[in-house]
Amino acid sequence: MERFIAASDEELAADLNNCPENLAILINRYQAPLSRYIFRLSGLTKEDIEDILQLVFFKLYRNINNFDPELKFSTWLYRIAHNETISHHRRKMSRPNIDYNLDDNTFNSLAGSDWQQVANNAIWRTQLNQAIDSLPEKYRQVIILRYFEDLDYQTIAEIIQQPAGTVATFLNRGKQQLLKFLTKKYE
Amino acid sequence: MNRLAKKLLKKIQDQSLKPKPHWLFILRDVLIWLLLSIWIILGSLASAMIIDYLRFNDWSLAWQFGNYLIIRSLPFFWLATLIAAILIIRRYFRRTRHGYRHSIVRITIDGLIISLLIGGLIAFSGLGKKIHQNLSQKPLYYQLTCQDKLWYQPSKGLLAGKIITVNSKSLQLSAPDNSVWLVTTDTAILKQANLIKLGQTIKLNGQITGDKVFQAKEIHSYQNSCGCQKCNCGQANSCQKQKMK
Repeated sequence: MERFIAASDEELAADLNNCPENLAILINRYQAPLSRYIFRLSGLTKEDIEDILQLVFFKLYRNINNFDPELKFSTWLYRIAHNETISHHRRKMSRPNIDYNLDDNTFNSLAGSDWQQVANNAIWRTQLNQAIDSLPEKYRQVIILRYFEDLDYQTIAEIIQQPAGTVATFLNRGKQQLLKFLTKKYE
Repeated sequence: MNRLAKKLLKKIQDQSLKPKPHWLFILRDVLIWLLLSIWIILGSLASAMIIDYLRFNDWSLAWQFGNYLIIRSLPFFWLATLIAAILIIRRYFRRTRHGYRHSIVRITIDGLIISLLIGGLIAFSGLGKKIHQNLSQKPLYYQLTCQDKLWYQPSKGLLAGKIITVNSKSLQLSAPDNSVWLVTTDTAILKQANLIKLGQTIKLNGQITGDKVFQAKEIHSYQNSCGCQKCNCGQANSCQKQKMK
């Protein structure tokens, strides 16, 4: 079992045809990061995110023979998650409804000595989330992949299946719109 | 093993699910490329026809009648085919394995260039004209593309037909609607040599001077776009009837 846990994603994927149990290891590795990504992209509830994840890993298993070895496995998996989230989002025809309430950790930390700094950071985070939420889908997704998932332009291009130049353009326009939104808010 | 993993593995086991076979994805790729190839060929054919139109259209006559004739004589059918081909190539190329890496503008320009290059080869080899002539035997294609009736509009100063009698100052012309016109040619300018001879199909611009009488200003040769050598111009139906005999 330790051998499988130590195996790379590509090695596990290559053996998925004969060894479906490898799927469990891949799910363990990617469930948390994909959940976070889907939440940032769509603001869906925990239940909806689980439904999407189930579809994502199911599609991963069924389409494993279509995996392009030129890509990193994680890039391909993010692409499936991205497409499923966008499809789900469009089916529901709703804007993301991210809960902007301050969480318990933030409230607890207000009791500390630098409560003003903590409060300012929390308010800033909320406003930034609102600004990101206001962006059109095509800009929002690249902003999230670049600044929250910390991915490079080429990987983002592979995930959203657009040329790298288009990714740069979307990122630039997304940042401009964010600036406009935040500037307006503070006027 | 976490809950999601257990749920999925149970589903896979219960339904005896397997990954889709590799050949299925290869087949999908092959079908997409086949569709792209068909549309590249159609786009190239359309380009060839458009190039032939640009080469053989009677521009000197068209310009005299201004935008009306130039626009009416455009090969709309082939222009529409070329546009459809580029749009379909653009859409389906992005669905190929790595097609998404190229911008829409780049795909559009490349698709157009390839169509024009192959179309140019088809046109300048004479193959385009042969294809057009063969296709013109089909009534539907003839209806969509042949423009013989465009050159037969006496009220607008355009006449076309086959010469049935000739003398020094006039000739008689059998028009596409089977009417016979007397054409005075004493002041007409011949745009090409050896145009006035029995059996020759010509088009002329000028004006009506009486009942079925026409004063010619310029006489041009007529490229018989239906490619039918036995019958009068514009009479595709009679071409069909002759073939049936």
